[in-house]
Amino acid sequence: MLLQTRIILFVLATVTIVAGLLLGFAALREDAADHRARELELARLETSWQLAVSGAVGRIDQGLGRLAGDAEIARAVEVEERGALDRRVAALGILAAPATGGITDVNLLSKSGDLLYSSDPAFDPAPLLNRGALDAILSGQKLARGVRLVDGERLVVVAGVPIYAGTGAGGGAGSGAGVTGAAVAGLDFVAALDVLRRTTGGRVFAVSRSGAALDGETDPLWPAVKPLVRPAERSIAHVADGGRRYALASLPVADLAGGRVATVLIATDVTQAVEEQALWSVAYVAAVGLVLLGALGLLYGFLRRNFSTLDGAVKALQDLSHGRVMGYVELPAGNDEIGRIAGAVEVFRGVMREIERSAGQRERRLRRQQRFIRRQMEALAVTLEEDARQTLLEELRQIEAETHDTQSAQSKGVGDELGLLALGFSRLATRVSTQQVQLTQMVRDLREALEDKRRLISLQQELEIARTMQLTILPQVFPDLAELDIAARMIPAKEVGGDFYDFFPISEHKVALVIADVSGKGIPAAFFMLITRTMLRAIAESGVGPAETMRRVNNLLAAENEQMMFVTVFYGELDLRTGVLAYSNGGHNPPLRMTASGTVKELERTPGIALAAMPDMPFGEKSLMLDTGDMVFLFTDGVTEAFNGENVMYGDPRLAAAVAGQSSASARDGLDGVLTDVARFTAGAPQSDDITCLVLRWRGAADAPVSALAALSDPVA
Amino acid sequence: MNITEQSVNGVTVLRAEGRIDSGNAGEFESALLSAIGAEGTRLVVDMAQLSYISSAGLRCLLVAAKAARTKRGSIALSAMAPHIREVFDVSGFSSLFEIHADAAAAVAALGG
Repeated sequence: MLLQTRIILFVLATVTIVAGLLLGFAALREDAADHRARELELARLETSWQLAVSGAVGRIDQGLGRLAGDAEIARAVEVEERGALDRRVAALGILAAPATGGITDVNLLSKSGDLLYSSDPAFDPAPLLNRGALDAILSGQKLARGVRLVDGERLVVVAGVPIYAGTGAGGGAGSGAGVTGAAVAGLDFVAALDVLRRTTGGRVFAVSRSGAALDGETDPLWPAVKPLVRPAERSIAHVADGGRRYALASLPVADLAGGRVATVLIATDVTQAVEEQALWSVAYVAAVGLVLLGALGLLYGFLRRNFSTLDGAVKALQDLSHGRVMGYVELPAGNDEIGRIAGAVEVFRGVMREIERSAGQRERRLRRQQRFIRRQMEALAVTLEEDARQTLLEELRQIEAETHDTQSAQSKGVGDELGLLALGFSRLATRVSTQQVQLTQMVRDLREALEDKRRLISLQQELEIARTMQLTILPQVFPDLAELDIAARMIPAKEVGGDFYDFFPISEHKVALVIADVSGKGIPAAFFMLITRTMLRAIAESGVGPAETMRRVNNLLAAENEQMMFVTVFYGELDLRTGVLAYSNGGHNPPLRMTASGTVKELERTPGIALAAMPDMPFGEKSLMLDTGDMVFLFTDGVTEAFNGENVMYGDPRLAAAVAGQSSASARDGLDGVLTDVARFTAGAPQSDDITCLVLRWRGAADAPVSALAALSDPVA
Repeated sequence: MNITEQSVNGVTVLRAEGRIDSGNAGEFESALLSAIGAEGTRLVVDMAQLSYISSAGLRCLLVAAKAARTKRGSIALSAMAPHIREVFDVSGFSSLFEIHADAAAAVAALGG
């Protein structure tokens, strides 16, 4: 809420309270004045009533004068001659009928207070005055005048005078001397009311002590007055009837002997006075209201005029707070508080302008610095690798775009631009550091790769040694025997394999044929091959026969075979004298035998299993007699399982057919022929396994084979 | 080669697909040994989808058989193609392994 509004509201509240208090006090004062006026009015009406009663009493006094002044009556009272009194009173003709307003009651009393005459025809009439009032008259002290309730039902205005002896001679009243009796007369109460009506001009009502109507019942105002009748109260009430307003005064009437006997009600028409008063009240309130409104209006105008300066200062401050330093509002100078505030705002505005100007300079300087940093960062980014450089340059462009976007720059301020640049710089640092780590890692990897390569070369050298060893233990040259044409060949796979063949004499007439395939590849296979060959040679030469040889070699190999390697072996012993070939097959591909007629057949299988797989396995042996011209073709699975480019295996049928095609060839030619066929089949597909073949052609038993065998192997016994 | 493992009635069934030669024999061996794992494992090597097995593959089976024996487990082979069966027959390995017509029979034979 504006200060201005608050002040106005505060003043309004204060003025309202003060006005309320003023009106309240005015009302109280008016009430007090009203009360006084009412008392005065009551007193006036009471006086009127007394005058009315006095008027009625005056009318009685004429009759009483005639009674008391009559000599006849005075004499008769003195002698107490009642008959004379009756006659004389009737002769005077004082008594009148009640409706005429004349005297209705007369009492004549003796000096001792005895009732000598009463106009009341009753047998024992009640006296008009009580004893106390009568004594006052008889003693000449006081004349009795007032209202009296007679017989408990009739209200009468009475007056009494003393009768003096020797009336006519006269005696001074009040001396008490010469009083012989008293005369008392009364007339109807209504007479007094009529006088009152005439003197006040109001409408008069009378009620008895109990509230019953005595007079004025016929007045049209009575129904409105009746509910307000309070007989015992002396008060003024207000009555409205027929569009007119009346002040109803209630005056209790006292008995001559004391006590209240009736109440007179006087209704005065006050319509005009009440209306005037109401008019004055409205005028008063309206005047007060107008004065207040005027005062408030003046106050409002005054405040508006003074606050307009303050408003100007506030607007200038708001402009400053919104950054509109250059917006200019003319602030009137002055020496009061508001003027001083305006002056201070003016000074403040000047300071703000100065600050803004220097901030602008600082911002321009910062922008120059930023541009410099950005250029340096771009130069640095060029040294990064391609991806990182592109990302970083993109980020720099974004930062630049945001810096040049005036909206953004204004909303974020210089600090935010620096923040953006710092962010970019931090990213650049991260990238540089990442690249550094990557380079270091790369160098390390490269070093390790070099190390690995060195090790690989060394391994390859070792493998080369193993391969050389594998090849060198295979017999390359076979003895030239008359009985036998023999040729063998191993084509190693890329890796060092485990195939081998062997041919050696085991006795004077026997030679051993071996072809074997060690499971697996590499150095372990080469070692295993070497061991197997050595064992086989050693045990075969003991001459225990093929099956036993195989059994022993198997048990020896299986005993220490942590690697679970195994070797399939075909082992045969050929007797050169007879051409009988005894053999045992330890899980190897059965060799093929081609007869001179060109039939190709597998050698029958014998019970047995690949050596070293399981100890204590049984091995069987079989033998057959070769006919002259028979060819036996021993091979490893590298031949039958040679794959071509379509992943098709060479297989047994193709091998059998290839062997069949060599019926007339020498051992060497036959071997070459088959291998050529295999090579044609694989057509350059990578060789995954060693390909090994041993071919022999039986030429028939010779006469002297011993010398030839001796040439083959020296240590033969 | 692709190897999948499945459990049928408490028997582990290992299905080898494609070729097993010296190039992937190591992988085959690891699969077998991890399948044998705990004590008393019953393992069926199903060869229905196997097209070729070299001597290196046979060696893996031998290693697995030995490991199974040590851990009181058992191994059976099933669903060999004829040319695979020939390899087993020639090498004499047929006598070292239980061989069944299909995996269900092998599982049943191992009490699964």
